[in-house]
Amino acid sequence: MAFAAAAASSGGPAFFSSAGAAPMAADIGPAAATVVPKSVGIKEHRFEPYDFNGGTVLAIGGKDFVVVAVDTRLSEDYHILTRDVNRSVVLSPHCVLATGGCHTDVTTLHKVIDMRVKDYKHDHEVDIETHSVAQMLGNTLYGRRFFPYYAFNVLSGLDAEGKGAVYTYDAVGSFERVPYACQGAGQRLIIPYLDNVVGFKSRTDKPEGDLTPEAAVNIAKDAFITAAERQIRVGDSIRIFTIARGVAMKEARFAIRED
Amino acid sequence: MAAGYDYATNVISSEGKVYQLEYAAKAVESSGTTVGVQCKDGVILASEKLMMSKMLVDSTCKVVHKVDDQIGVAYSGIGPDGKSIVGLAQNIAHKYKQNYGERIAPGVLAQQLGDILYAYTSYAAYRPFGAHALVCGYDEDHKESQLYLCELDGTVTRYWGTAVGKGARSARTEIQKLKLTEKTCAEALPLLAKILHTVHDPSKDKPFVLEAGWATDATKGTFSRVPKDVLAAADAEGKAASEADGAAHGGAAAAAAGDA
Amino acid sequence: MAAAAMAPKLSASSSTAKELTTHPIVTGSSVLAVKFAGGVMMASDTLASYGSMARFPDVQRLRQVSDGVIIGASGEMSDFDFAMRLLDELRVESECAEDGAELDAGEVHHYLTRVMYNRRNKFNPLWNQLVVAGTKDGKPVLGVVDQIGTAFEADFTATGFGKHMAVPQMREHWRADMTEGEARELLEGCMRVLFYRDCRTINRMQIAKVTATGSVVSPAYSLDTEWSLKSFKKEASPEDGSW
Repeated sequence: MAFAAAAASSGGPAFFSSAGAAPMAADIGPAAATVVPKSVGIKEHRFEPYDFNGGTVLAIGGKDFVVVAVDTRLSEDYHILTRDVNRSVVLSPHCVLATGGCHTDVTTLHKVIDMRVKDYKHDHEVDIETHSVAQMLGNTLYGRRFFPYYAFNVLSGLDAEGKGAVYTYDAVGSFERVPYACQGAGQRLIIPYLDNVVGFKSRTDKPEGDLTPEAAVNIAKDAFITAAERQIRVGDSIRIFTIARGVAMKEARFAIRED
Repeated sequence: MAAGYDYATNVISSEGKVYQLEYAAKAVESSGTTVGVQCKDGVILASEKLMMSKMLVDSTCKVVHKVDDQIGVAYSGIGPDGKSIVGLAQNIAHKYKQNYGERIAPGVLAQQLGDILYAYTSYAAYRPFGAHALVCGYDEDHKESQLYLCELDGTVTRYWGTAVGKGARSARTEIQKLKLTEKTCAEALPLLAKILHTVHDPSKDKPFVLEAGWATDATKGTFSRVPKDVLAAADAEGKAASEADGAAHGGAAAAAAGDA
Repeated sequence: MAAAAMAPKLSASSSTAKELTTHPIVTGSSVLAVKFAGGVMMASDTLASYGSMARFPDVQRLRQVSDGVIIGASGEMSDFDFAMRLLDELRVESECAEDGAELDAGEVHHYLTRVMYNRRNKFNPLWNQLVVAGTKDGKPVLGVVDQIGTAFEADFTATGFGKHMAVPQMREHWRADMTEGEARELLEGCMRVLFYRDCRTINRMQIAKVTATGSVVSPAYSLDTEWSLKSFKKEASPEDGSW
């Protein structure tokens, strides 16, 4: 293949073009402060199969809908690996799984679950019920009891009666159905908020009527905006799924702070 | 004559024959012809692939196969046996590369393939393969293309040009006349097509599809299937040339009769 | 050996201890990559270090998998060689099938992710951060996967020390509509800083690009450098020093 014109400033071979390049700043700035590297000398690595890559997932169940929100920041230590990662998988027209934790386990777990859900559909010629996915996910996680998937799951969907169903898990497969849930890096900031505005815990007043999908979406946005203020692993943007009875699943994106 | 001596490969008859091998060779003699030649700039395999039904798709049941970057194998004989031989050859090439970090030379591959074919002639629990294989490819040490014939009894021989299958005998005679080592692969291809058309007898044989692959200077020693348009042109040219010859000499049947 | 003693037992019945990569030995430092208008460009130096020793100064860390796919590697070079061998075996097998199918970068990235994850599960990782460049469904793609199988796609990325030194520059200068020349300028700027600041980077680098028409890896070359910059001088000292 042909190459563009020679580089202007590199002094390198004429393999790639530097045409149109803006000159880089000549000075690279003031000397950095005295940062002492963590390890000096011979490094002895031990293989660490787990990593924590952040990820916060939230779900709010309603009378005939469920709203799922999950952030898209992939982090590692103090690095942001990407601001646009997908931690969710749509398993059926009425069921979504979103997961935080060790991303290598998250992607693998999503593939395994997605595969099993497809197998179910081929075998039974019907979309799997949310409560069946819930049990199957629990079994899948427990199958790795002694080398767990480091993955924190919230499974959301509509149940057989069309009501919003939210299931929350620990890493080795314990799970329960709850009205709303939050897992992952931001859970400690978000759960108290949900307890207050969705659960109406320790409040003297009662909710005015049923929660609507629109209201739930707004709560999810507020929750993530709030968590992003105080938790470095939460940020960039969120994916919001709205699954409601009688309408197709909707997916939306919402930007939150990027720093 | 063969009574009692022809049921096993581990028995030699009083005339010094292993009849099972001769029977297996009959399978080759009744299948489509495959020719291989070494030219000035590379090596070619070309096959007369007999089509058992008019409803068969042209590309089905390939007989010319790629086995490694630089090596191709074509077979004549029982189809599944041929495919199995191709698989063995791919395995040999793969293992060699894993062990030595370089591509196998065609001669080495042919020898190893021959060893396996031989092994299948000497155990009571096995039957011999019902196919001969032509192995061609580029030898990086000797900087040349080479052609080998691996027969089902384990014989491995190197040729400038040879043929196996139904029309093998007259095809070999024709190849010998052509002095293909002085020609390029591109020049040789229509001539090989002509040979295959000549040994093919439309009145007796099932219709055939021409298959061909080559490793040439132009392909940088890489074995590849001859491009569709090039092959179609060579096929048409060969067919026309064969028909012109046939008209001049009293029909293709005469050429085919020479084989009998 | 010490490493073998540290390695987990693979099975109760295995009598011979198996050697696992518990830490990398011969390593490559950063790989940098950015998408630009119409393609992906990658850069790395050609050093493979042995601990702190600059052991092999002319190692290709950017390699072509096929016409449309390039891989760059940080980390253990032997593991990289092994991964490339897996891909080559895959290529030959696919070509022998003669069905015209060829793996695109998305598929290569995914395949490597599964290899990395399965090796991690055996506690026998391929100790690399691999950057895969090419096209996926006809569009430029830039994928990353590490030794435990963490995989993601990005518009720009850096591995190794480049995560600290190059990513901030990329964040400042990267645009989706960068020309090829701008992309190269950005990568060379990053490589220059890495050479100044990373003890495991030498001034001998390669760049590679993948576009719709194919891929190229350049021969190795050097960047011009400037050591009279103010920040390289220690004003208080009678001699010059680079702090």
